[in-house]
Amino acid sequence: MSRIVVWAAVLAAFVAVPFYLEGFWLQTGLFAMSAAVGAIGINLLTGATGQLSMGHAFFLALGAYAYVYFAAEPTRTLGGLGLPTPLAAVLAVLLAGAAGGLFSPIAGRLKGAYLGIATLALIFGGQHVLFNAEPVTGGFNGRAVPPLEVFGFVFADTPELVVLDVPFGVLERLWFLGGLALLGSALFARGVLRGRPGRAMNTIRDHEIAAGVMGVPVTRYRAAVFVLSSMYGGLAGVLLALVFQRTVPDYFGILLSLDYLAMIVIGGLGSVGGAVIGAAFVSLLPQLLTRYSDALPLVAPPGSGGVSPAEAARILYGAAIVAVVLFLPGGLLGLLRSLRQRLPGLRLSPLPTPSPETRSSHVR
Amino acid sequence: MFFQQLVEGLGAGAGYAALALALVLTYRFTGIVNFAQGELAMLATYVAWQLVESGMPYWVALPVTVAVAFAAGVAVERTVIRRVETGAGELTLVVTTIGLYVLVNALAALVWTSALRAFPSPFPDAPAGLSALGAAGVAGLVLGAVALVVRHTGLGLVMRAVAADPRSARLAGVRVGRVLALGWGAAAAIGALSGVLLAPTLFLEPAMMTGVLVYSFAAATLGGFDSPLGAVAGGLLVGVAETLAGTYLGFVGADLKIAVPLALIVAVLLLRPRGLFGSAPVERA
Repeated sequence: MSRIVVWAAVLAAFVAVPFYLEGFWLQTGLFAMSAAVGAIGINLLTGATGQLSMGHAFFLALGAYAYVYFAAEPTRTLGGLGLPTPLAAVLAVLLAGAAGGLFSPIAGRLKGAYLGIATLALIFGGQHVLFNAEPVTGGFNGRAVPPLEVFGFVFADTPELVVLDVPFGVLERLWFLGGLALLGSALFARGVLRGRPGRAMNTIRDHEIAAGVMGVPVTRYRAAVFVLSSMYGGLAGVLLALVFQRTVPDYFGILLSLDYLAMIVIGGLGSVGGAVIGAAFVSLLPQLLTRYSDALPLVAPPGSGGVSPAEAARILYGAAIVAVVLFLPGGLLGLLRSLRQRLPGLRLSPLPTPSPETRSSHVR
Repeated sequence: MFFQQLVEGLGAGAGYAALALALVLTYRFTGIVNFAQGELAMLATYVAWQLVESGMPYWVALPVTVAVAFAAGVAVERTVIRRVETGAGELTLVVTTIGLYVLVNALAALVWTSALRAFPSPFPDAPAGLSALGAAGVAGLVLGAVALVVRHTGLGLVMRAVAADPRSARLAGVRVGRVLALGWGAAAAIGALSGVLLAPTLFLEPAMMTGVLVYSFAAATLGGFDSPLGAVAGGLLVGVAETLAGTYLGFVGADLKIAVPLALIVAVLLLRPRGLFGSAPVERA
């Protein structure tokens, strides 16, 4: 019962946000949502299956650029297919999955850090293509993203739309679309993780040989999870393109991949909730620092010579990753869980408390 | 022309080889693929730059830098890595080093800004070819020194024991923690050398080692991740292959050079995952 109340409150708050908050916060929130979709994908791969991928940014780029290419009308210098935009979005996600499938012979055979090293190839190769395949990607300057249009409803500032005296521009409209995409991705991933595939994935992560002995097709699973995770990356890329309204190649570099790894470590490895919390933390931190930089000691506005907010954010979250690994093995989600256990009044769902025997078996 | 390219490749390869050697040492001792190795080297290179800039002669600044890097490596192992190296999964370890990567990179950008800086060459008056050969010679000397210490000293024996099986080594009375710290220190010191060797051609900036790290991963993978000799051979090979491909294969050119080590990585991992000189892992369930 109390669960329903909580979810209803969350839903009401979510719906109310575009009516009260300004564009800056909506955009930040939308970035966080798209990051959350991507982070769920990499958490399936890295957190749940133990396969390190440094190539997630590549699949985001693929999703974003494929959407633009499929949806845009061809011009004199830039190519495009001019497909209906929802179809373009779906095809972009499928294309990201297909690219993951092409890489999956490698992804299936390599494990852990070795896969991480091999996926570096995707990042550097991908960026090279983004910068040089100008008819498709627009080169260094990127290209404009055509707005999504579903059954005549356009996700753009025009035509004007006013709901309850609030003008609904592109961000307000996308807000609900982003929420739906995130909800769908989260539910699907939760289903995967809680079912038979999730158990198999966790067994592969914890002990590859044991998994094989128990009849889990290890190679096939690794390849399949890689494909699934790249499709999540593609969807995140499509959302990102819609929010940015412009795709630029510089953005999809190695640092973006590291951002995604940071998200799942800070949030909590191997779970949907952890990915969402981590994505919110990593996307909101730089924005908050930029916004309130004048109120913080040591942090100066950009260009004034002091510590810029972007630098402060990088230092803070580099430190946050190290601190989380050292002190919070379960990430922020683990912290929330243990807080909830200690304060019975806050407990939303009963958590299994370890019995004395299982507890003692963990002591080494 | 060919000879000049070859020598240039060897010079770059020496830098890659040194960083690959650092990666391999860390991996041999602690089983960690250290993604922050390049950034630690970059930090050390900044220290060297600062020392030279403040008037210290180059050949005095170099050993001081290596010593500082050694101390930093030991400090990182003692404060951060030590807490996660036992019991934590491989993923936690890798992620810790990624956290270090981000942290060190941001700190360097903070202290020295991200401006490009010129770094003095160790052999300012020598022609380019000779100084490249000099760099390769330095890498060879370091490998020789490492091999001597590891094979022919009591310390080396202890180090090999820890690398082979830390638990048995501890039971035999080895202070495993100290040896691990020593391993990290040595790796950081060798990494520092790599930064100093490469800085004159790459220019000093916080992102300097990102590409180099990829080359060094390629070198270490090519040579086998647990073989120091393989790392050095792999580094020189990658350096030469990259330079020659950039010159003689028209479609590769200057900006696709980074694809060469990446193609190497993927091919080696698929065809011979243990590398040219590595040993195949055996696991008992």
